[in-house]
Amino acid sequence: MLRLRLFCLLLGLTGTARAQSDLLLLTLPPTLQTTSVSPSMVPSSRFAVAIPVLSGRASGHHSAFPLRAVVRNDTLDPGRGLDRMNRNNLLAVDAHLDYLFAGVRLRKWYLTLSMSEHAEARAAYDGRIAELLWRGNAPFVGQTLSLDRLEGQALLYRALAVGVAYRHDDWTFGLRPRLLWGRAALRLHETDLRLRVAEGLLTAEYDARYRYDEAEELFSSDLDDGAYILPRRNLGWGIDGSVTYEGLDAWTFTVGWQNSGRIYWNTRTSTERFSRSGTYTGFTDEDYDGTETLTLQRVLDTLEATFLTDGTTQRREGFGTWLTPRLYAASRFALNDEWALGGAVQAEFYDGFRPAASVSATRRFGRLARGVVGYTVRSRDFTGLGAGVVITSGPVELHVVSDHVVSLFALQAVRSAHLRIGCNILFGGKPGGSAATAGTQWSRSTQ
Amino acid sequence: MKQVASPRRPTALLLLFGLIGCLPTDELVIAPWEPELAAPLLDLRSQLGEVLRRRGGNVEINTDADGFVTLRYLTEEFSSTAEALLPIPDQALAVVVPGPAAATPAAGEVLQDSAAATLPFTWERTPAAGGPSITRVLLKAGTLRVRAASAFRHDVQIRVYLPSLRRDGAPFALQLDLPFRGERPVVVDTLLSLRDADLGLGSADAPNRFPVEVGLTLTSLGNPIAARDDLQLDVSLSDLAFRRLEGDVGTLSLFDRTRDTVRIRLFERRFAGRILFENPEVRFDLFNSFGLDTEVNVTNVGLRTNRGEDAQLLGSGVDALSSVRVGGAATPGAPPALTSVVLDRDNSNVRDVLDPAPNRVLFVATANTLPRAAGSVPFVADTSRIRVRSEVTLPLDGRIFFYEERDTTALEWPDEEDVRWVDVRTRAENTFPADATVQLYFLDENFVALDSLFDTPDEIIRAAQPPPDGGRTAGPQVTEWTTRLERERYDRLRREGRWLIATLRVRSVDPETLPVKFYEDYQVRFQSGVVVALSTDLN
Repeated sequence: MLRLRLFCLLLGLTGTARAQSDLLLLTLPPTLQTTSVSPSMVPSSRFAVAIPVLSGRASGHHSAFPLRAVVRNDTLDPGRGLDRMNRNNLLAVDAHLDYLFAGVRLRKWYLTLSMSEHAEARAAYDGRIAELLWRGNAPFVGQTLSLDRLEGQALLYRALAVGVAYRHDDWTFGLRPRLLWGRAALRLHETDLRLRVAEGLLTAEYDARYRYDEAEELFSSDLDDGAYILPRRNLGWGIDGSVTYEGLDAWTFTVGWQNSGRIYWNTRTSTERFSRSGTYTGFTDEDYDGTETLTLQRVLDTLEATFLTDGTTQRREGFGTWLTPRLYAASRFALNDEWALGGAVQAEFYDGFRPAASVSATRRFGRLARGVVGYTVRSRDFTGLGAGVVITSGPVELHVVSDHVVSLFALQAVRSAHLRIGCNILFGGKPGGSAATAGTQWSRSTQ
Repeated sequence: MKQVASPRRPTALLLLFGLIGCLPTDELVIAPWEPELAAPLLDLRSQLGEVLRRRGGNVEINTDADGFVTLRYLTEEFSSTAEALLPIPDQALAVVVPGPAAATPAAGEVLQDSAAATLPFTWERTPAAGGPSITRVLLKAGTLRVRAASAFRHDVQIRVYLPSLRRDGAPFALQLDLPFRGERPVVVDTLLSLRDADLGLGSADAPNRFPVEVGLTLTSLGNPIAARDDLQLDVSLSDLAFRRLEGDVGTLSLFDRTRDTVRIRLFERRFAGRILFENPEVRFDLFNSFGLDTEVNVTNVGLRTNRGEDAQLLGSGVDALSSVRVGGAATPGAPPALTSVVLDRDNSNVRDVLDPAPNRVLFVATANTLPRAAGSVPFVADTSRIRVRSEVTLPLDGRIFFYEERDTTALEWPDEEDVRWVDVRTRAENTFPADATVQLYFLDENFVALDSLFDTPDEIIRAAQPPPDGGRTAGPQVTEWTTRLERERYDRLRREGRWLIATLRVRSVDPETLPVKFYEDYQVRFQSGVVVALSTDLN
């Protein structure tokens, strides 16, 4: 039952909070969670251990409209959202949970080991597909619908990461290779739909194809607990990297990439391909042998056979899925011992280039707490007011950060949601330093 | 090993949970899903040639170089063959040779005697009752049995001679030995095949007879000859089958069909119609392979509509086909003699009786052989028979005042219940020089009309215009229309409609004055598409 509980916990995190990519976290003085922070960001403490399961992140983003746009007077009306979609909409859902984290600083080296569970889903779609589904094809009569943007991918995987950071003068180089185990995946891709329904007699020209891959190793009935905890199939790789520069007095600059990698699915897989094209003019003489009565049902059966059943082939074959990589750059400027300003830009690569940007201000409240407020813009979403707090008590550091605070209180009103929590135990450092340096900078803490 | 529940789409489930987590689920109502779906429905082509061939049956479709169509509906009737009509019964003949007078001849003494008889060859009917008077039979099968029983206590030898039974040109002769071994009668029984035998049965003046001659030679064994001693000879012919008969077969009834029909499938599904063909023709070809004249009577020729209405076909005001004398074949092996009777617009009322577009030609047909003409030698082969080929020829050239087909079918409604409205769009391309109106009637389970698709039947297929001489039309005439079925009507029909009657009513261009011709490549392309507005409650 262990894996079921863990999975349910992931579901819970995914279902109750939404966020994007921890942009504020990039601008905070580093906290420990390795799955989102830069490999070259080093805490000031010599030893660090994260409390299992209490650290994790959940986020979500729908670029087209907030939920409130389609819910009014207790009525969910998907039609209201159609006009707010464009031809490139993104639905993103992420969640991860840290099972294990430990880090140690040895002179110029900083080594980490972590294990985490990830769920990430992306769907990119042309808004006209939703319109086609909701309003039917009659509004498009006379038009040629060319819908090649309908891609989707959902992955559930586990990652074992070993992080190495090395300090050289004002530069810190970090690299975090990851070993990945795929648990479950589905992917819709190679999609191309062209449809033209002519005016008049509504003759339909169509050319449709897609590929759907699926793997469900996690749900295999012959999966024992040992294989569940340390899977041996559907292996993959990942690597994160970054560089941090601290050569200017009050400035810290970091550039890097995260979440690059690929999983090779080879167990309990299935692939369905669909390809069909032609012109459908209706029930023809070729469909009618003249011996039976021509009924409406026979006509409808022919219509259904043409568009819904023919053209599908299914096979069991392996496939590979890329993770959703991100490039980012972040900087922080310390105004004084209490205040610091930060900024970050990021680009996520899924069915194109999807940028985001964030600015923030951080303040230290004594030795016990730091607070951050920020503003994030991403994919037509300008409601990204963020906030976070880091509380340090003895060796225990607890942080709660959200890029979209509004989502915590009015989920229906926003396009993006985010929540990140973490609880760590730190030894041998100087927790609760200035706003610019507290708990973070290698140079400040070790020099 | 523990088992874990295994949903088919695990990550999809994860996403679904996520989405549900976003929703304010308390009393949230989902708006009705009201898509409008557009799809082509029908694309049917009906080309005249293909339609006629598809209906098949007994039709022969002829086209001239220009593609003008003439239909020939054929039916053939055959009489039984002569072999079946004239079975030859087994024949049995008995001849008694009394032998020498009573005495006791010395041993080794040879005595002789003979006897002759001309015996009748019987048929199932006697000549006096119109039966055959046959002078010659060429056999293809049969068995001759000769049985001799000698009561003499001496060695006997007999010679049986049938002078009119020949094979390979030689008359039949048979010699039999009946040696006495102490017991009597001395019996000899012999079977012989009559395959390819030629049996003469007398002359035209004395037919149905054949002679038998018997010669007896007695070699004495020294025993006495009693007065009652004799030799009895039984000759029989059995299992006879002829290849040819010569002579007069009498008056044979070849067939007597009280109701024969030519089916005109073109009009089989017609509900009503009034069509005036320009040059229709009803023809009867009478083939006679008997070597003698026959008389054929085709009477009460009528044309019947599918409503059971009959109209009688008359030639020059009378029954034109009664007592037609059909000459016989000239020689054995020659093709059958043909006698034709044609009823056309000039010698009959065929145009008028075809007007209601009948689908059957009915007639009563009888045929019988006629007595031999003086001086002739009629013959009958085993395969001789009378063949009556009935033919209705319809060059598709005429005027259609109206022609209506109806089809009734059970209504099957699609599963979708919440239909807001349905738009039906139709386009027809027509190269026929004829308009067509279509109507669909919806009926309840008791066949009571509920509604019709159109308020008034429109000309949804308009005629292509022919030239003034009624020749080929220039090009297709296109007709387009749209009709809408609103929710209230749709719901009522869906609730109560169980049957659908479709009617098609055709009318040629200006039928009062202009005959038009129909060509093989004339066609109607009928296309239809629908837009259906649905409303589905997703809650």
